[in-house]
This record gives sequence, C-alpha cells and structure tokens, in this order.
Amino acid sequence: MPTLTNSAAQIPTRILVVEDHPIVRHGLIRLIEEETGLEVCGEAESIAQGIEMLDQTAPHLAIVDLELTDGDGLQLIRHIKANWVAVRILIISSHDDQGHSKAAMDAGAMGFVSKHEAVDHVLEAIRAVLAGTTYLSPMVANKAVDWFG
Amino acid sequence: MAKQRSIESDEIREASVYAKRLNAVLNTAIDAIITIDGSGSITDINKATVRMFGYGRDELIGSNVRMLMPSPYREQHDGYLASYHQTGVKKIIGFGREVIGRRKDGTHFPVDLAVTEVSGFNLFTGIIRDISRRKALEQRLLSAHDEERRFLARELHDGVAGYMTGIGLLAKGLQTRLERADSSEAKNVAELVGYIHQAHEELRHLSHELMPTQIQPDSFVRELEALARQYDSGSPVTCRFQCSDPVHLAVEPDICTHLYRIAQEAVSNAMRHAKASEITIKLTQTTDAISLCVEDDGIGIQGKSHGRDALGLDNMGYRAGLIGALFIMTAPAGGGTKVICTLPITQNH
Repeated sequence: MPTLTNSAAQIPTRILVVEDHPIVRHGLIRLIEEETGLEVCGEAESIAQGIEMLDQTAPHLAIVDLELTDGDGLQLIRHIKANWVAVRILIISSHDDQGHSKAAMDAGAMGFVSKHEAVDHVLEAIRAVLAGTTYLSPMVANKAVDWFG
Repeated sequence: MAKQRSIESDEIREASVYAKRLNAVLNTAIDAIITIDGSGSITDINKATVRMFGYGRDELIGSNVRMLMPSPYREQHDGYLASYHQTGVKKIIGFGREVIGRRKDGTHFPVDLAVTEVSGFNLFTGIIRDISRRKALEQRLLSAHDEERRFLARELHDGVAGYMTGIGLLAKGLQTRLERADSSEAKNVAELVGYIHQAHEELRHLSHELMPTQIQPDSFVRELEALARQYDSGSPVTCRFQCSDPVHLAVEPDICTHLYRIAQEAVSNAMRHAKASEITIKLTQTTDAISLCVEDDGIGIQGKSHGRDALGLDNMGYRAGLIGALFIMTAPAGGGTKVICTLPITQNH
C-alpha cells in the first residue's frame, strides 16, 4: 500500500478524483496536474466507478464530491475508511453547510472545500490533508462555527 | 276622514312591506352586517353574523362588538371609538380593511371589514366578509411563487454554479501553466480567473436569495440575527438585530417563514431603495402578540411604488394577511421607514 512518507520529488502523490460534474472533474484534473509532485491517477463519476478505480490505482488521496451519479458520496467515504485505511479523503461539494460538512468529517474525511471557493483553496486543501492536517475552506469553517464552538 | 285614514293605512302597509323587504335583503346577505352604538354595543345583526361567528342572536345583541375580535385588537377597540368621538379623525370609518375575526369557538379567520357611520343616530354599521377562501387561494399562489423560486435557485446552485466551478478551475490551471512558462498571457488569464470568480459570487448570492428557506420556530431568532449579520458585513450599512427578551415562538414553521420573509423583504427594500445607512430589526413578544419591526433612516416611502418594489410591498402585506398578522408601513416624523408586523398569539397558532 502506498504511503505518504515518499517525498514528492521521488514518487508523485497519486490522487483519485471522484466527481459527477464532467467540467468540474476536468478542471480539477487540469489544475492538480499543473502542480509539481501531484498526479491524477484516476477519475470517476460514481461510487461504483470510484471503488473500481481505488482498486486499480491505490491513490494516496481521494477527492470526493458528495453528490455522485449513483448515490451519496458519504457511502464512498465509509467504504474507503473501511477498506483503504491509509487513503486520505478531501471532500469538494457545493453543499457546504454545517450538516453536510459535519457528516463528511464524522464519516472520515480529513478536509472539506466548498465548490464556490475551490479555485482558490483546493490546492491548499490537498497539501494540508496530505500533510495530515484537518482542513476546512473559509466558507465551510464559517458555517461550522457552532459545531466547533 | 275615512279617506285620510285609508291613505295612512296604505302608507303603513307600504312601510311594513318595505321593512320586510329590507329585512329579507339583510338576512339573505352573505356578508355579516353588524350595527353598534357609540359605546360599541351591538344593536342589530343579520343572520349571516350568526352563521359567521357562531354566536346566537341573543348572545350578540347588547354585547360589546370587541367579543368578535382577537387580542390585542379586542382590548384596543374601545380606545378607537373614544379617539373618534374626541378627535373626529376617521381611522377605519369610511374605509375597508382586512382584519381578523374571532368565532365563538375561539378560532380566528380573516375578514374584510367596511365601517360606515349612520349619520344622526350615533350608530356605526360594519359589513364583514369572510375572506378565508380568498386567503387560501393567495396562499396557494404564494406557494407556487415559492416553488418557482426554489426551482430557479436549485437550477442555479446545482447546474450553472457547477459549470462556473469547472470553468474557474480550468482557467486557474491555465494561469498556472502560463505563469510557469513565463508567458505574457498569464496576466490576462489571471484577470479572466478574477471575472469568473466575481460571476460565481453573484450567482451564489442570487441562488441564496431565491431559495425560499423554511424557517423552524426554534431557529427563528438565530435566523433573524444571521439576516442582520449578512446585511451588516461587507457593506457600508449598519444592520442590527434587537430582541430584548427571550421570544418563544410556539407556531408553525410556515408562520416563521412568512415572518422571516417579511423581515428579509423590508431589510432588502431599506438597503436597495430607501438608501438607508442604519437598519434595525426588532423582535418583541407580549402575552398577546409577537411584533416584528424593521426600521431604517433612509429616504422614506417615495410616492407610489412600481414594478418589483410594489410587488415586494404587496408580498409583505399578503404574507402578513396569510398568517393573520397586522401589517403597517409608516413614515415616522423623524424620517425613514418603519414596517411593523404584529402577529396575535392564538390557540390556533
């Protein structure tokens, strides 16, 4: 199983993108691939495809949307946590309210980025989660004040 | 002599026929017709009054008309009459308005009330029309309006906003690539990324404003606080929320939602049209009523409103009517605008 201890210069960090919106998925892949040390190892638009790609690509990080073509992204998070303990999970979703972010973090995600601010914060979130830090983008953090407070 | 007696007899007969006919007209009317004296005591009613309010004729005649109104209007009615007798200023007499009626069983219902003074007799006649069905229709219209807003908000949020995210990410990726290649085009693409960001923000706000959120009673006060914060932050306008005592809303979510929407519309009007620099949302509760007040220091009500502005004002009034609240919009002497919505606390809330 791959680990995160490999330095980025030696082995690129593999990222799986699970997102049902083709343009968002495409945009994420293009942005990530511009970054040194990051590599998109696979893409999926559904839970089923995501599970298949996990088996095929053994990513270090999975970026997961909460709305997928065949169901709720939370199911995929739980599957990853049960079967791929070392894979870190970053959620990207337009449903950035406290209910959704808490449910995702409780299920095992390490970061949550609102789609409304993904352009400015997704790379920062990827780096933070890969470094082992919990990450919430500003809008998500603002709405989650009660939860943390 | 006999001829004279015969003429009088004819006149009496005619008067009697006329009185019977008039009585028949009054008693077959669908609207309730109530006559009161100067002190508010009921002197006469028609049959529709009995049907509408559920009281027997004997219970009504001689009683004070305030028994047909819910609190707090019930307690205020004697004061209105006294004020009219003292000042001669007509606040409701000669006009029609929507008010709330109270049946014998304690339930409330919306009515159209038109009051006229019977000159020379110190009597007042009220014609009351039950507008429950009309209000139910208006509720359905408003629900359809909300449903359309919800549909548009969802389409913008889930559809168009998704494209905006994707396009923004693609443009940002291109910007990174061009910057790495030291291309002179990088600056132009960075500008493009900024524009996409702005468009996305506007779209997000529009979607948020369009979404008709259902407000729950236990979160109502927090939602009003959040509304004030939303308008206060990031704008030159100061928007405050005041709620001195704990307000406990034991009402249905629909009522909270309508009250919230009235506050939202009033604040939005103050900001966009009245050019206010200070807006205050106040919420107070007494034993009889909950009062929501939005006041501002803007340019006030400027003549007749048109288009969307007028629709906004109508919507506030409709919403208030639907939940059985009294809606008043005034221009205080010191300037600005004051919107007051008073919701009586009743057992059927």
